[in-house]
Amino acid sequence: MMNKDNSIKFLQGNEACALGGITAGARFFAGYPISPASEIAELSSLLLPQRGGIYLQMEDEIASIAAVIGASLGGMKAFTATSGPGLSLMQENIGFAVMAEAPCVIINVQRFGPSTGVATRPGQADVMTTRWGTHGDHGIIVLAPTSVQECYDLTIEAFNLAESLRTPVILLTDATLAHLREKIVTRTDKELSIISRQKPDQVTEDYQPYRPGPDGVPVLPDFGDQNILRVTGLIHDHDGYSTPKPQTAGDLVHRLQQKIEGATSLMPAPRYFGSNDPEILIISFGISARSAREAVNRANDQGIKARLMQLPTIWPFPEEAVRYACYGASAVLVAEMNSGQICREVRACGIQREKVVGVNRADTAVITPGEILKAIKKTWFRWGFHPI
Amino acid sequence: MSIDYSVYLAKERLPHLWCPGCGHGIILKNMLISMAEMEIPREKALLACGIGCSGRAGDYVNIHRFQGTHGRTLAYVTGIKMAHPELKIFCFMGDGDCSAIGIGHLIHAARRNVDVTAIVPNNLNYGMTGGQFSPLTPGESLTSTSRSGKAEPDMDLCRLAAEAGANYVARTTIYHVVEMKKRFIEATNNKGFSLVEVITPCPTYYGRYNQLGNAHKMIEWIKDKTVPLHKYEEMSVKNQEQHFWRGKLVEKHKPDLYTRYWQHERGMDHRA
Amino acid sequence: MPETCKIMLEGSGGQGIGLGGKILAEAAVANGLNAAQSQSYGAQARGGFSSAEVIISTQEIVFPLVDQPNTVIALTSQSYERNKGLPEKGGLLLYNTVNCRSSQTGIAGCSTISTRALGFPFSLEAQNAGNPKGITLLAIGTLLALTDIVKAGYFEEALRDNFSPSIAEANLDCFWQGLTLGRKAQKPCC
Repeated sequence: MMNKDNSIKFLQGNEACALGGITAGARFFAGYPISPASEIAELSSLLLPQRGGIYLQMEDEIASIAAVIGASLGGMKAFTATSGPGLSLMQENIGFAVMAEAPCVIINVQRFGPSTGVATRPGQADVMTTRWGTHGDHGIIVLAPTSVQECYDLTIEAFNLAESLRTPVILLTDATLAHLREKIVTRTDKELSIISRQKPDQVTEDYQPYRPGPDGVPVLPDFGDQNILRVTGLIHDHDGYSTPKPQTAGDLVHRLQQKIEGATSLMPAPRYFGSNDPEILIISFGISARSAREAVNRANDQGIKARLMQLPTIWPFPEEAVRYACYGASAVLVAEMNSGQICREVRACGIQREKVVGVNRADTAVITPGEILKAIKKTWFRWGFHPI
Repeated sequence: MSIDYSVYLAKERLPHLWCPGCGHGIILKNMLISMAEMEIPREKALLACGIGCSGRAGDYVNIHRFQGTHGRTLAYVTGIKMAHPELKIFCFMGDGDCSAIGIGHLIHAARRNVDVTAIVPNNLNYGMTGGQFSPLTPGESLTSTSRSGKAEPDMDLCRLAAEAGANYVARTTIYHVVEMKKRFIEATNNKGFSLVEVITPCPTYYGRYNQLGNAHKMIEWIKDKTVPLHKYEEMSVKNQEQHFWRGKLVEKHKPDLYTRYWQHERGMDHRA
Repeated sequence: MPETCKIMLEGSGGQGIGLGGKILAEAAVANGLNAAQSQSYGAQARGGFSSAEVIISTQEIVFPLVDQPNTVIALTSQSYERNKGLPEKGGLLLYNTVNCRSSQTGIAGCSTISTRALGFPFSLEAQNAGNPKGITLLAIGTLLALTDIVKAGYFEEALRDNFSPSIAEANLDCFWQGLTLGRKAQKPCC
């Protein structure tokens, strides 16, 4: 007990995710045990039944995401948690959730990969898997916390986005954040702004569940409501019946992308730390951003004008903000625990290739502030800035 | 006073896409009639389909309808049923969908005793993709991927479901149409996991590859190959391989998943 | 204590390293400080390498992992070997004399070279207390007696929160035993 109302807690990242989900209104969790994500299932199995919710342990990750989608369409806020191998198994159904517009949250605790990799050690190499893992053109939202507090806050944010845009949202954490314990401040659902999906306001015989609203998001009834819901992964019309018509197919796939790309103002914006007038911009996310922030502090102390841009929203990639931040800097370092997945995306924003330098580590260890500082200094001197 | 089954039907969506002589329409119609006889309100019924020919059944109904990814129907409905226990859920899964890609979910849905009615129209092959053999295709059958006869043995899906813990398991055929409806009603009224397999003709592929003649002849063929369960059990193994059994395999009344879950969790509350 | 204490607890699986680190960090938070704790371990639940990192600071903790520790509790010889140079860099090293052979230690650990490397027979003391698994809590007791990182009262409270009452008593005995051990030793120059 840390304080009177117990709002201050000392928790692991995984525990904060479970608590955040339940605070956001999740009443259904289905999952399959996997390191380093299992604590999310464990805490959910304890807390959900006490709140009238359901915890199911399924036969694999495919069944887990399927049950989550089913519960979501039945009207419950639902989530699952997994790591790389499980995420790979879930991919087909993530695409289905996009198509069916079934709101749900998938917490992917990144471990070192590919394949079984090292189950208890972190990596950040699922950036592209979360974006393009499922087949076909589609929009997707991926958020990445850097602290235990953000594990809590961004899980709530993930549910709010999933519910308002009727789409799956992936929370991208990692093995280190998952088991890191930090002090956090929790809130009750009344203190927070919790968003729940819109429901049809009238019952009609020929209700069209998939007729999009002005924001491109349809107002679906739940299974069991008076308005009939028809769901299919096939291309479907506003009634929810399947059709192969090119016009319908084109409109639907365009809308599924546009409702996400057009809603970036709802998503957490980049955060900045360090020099306001930077020569060197460091872009990072997740646990790497903690190292980068420490490195930027040390660099600033040494008179190097460096600034950190931390990306809480990875997908849709905050292109405009990145372009703007890079514009003012002479050099851009991208610090990440993979071989350059975000770096590639930064370059794709139209930043000069030679201006963007990757600071990568992909060996199961967390990239250190020292490594990033070294890269900052190397760039600082190479670009001919005044040595201190 | 039963409801007119046509209230469940999306008449404007007809004609359906199934081939002439296909049995899927007959099975769907019998499912809707059994629903009408049980007077299930339209908004409390859900048809959950797999992928393949039978998966298109959802396009012809006007009740809640769900079609997910191939083979996963029973995993989705586990979630739907736990979120919405008062829904009457009917699953429509072909032999390939349920016995190959979805077999794991069948075993676990039966083990958990999820309160749904699983109907498996077994047309002895993958129709939608061009007549390849499925796990339920009888050994030695000719199909588009077994031109010299299927080398693998087939399996008994009903016995597997029963062994896994289903409350109700039965098998019938398209020929035994009165019995089919009766089985659907028994299965639905049994709270818990129920499975009814219906052997049905695919004249376009299975029938053509195996020279079984037109739809009419194929139904005759199914009738002749099918014997009541007790007779089947008296047959030699070799003779059994040439026949399908029909009848009721299991009828139990164990509590379903939802009931057990809350009995257990409330018990925990009580202890706490 | 320095503004930021970066503590490594190193031992083997089953010694309660992770839980000890968690309790220490919880005590620090209850004490009004900032704390971050993490742990790493191999695939074995018992035996094998185990370590916990605890950062305790009066300031915001920007990087939550220990890159350079300034305080180490070494319960195994491997850990001692890895960290024996620490005192020369100004750090504090407490080690288990039962496993870690050092040529530098006197009784109750006060080293001849530096008072910042102290050896204590943690294993024996835990065994004598009838609770060999309480070794980490015992060593933390010694650490808290020698430094003012966290007040012992907060640690006791955090410890009670982590165990059922009967088990808490046995573990508190270990912790108190460690405190006594530390109080008897010469306080290192901080």
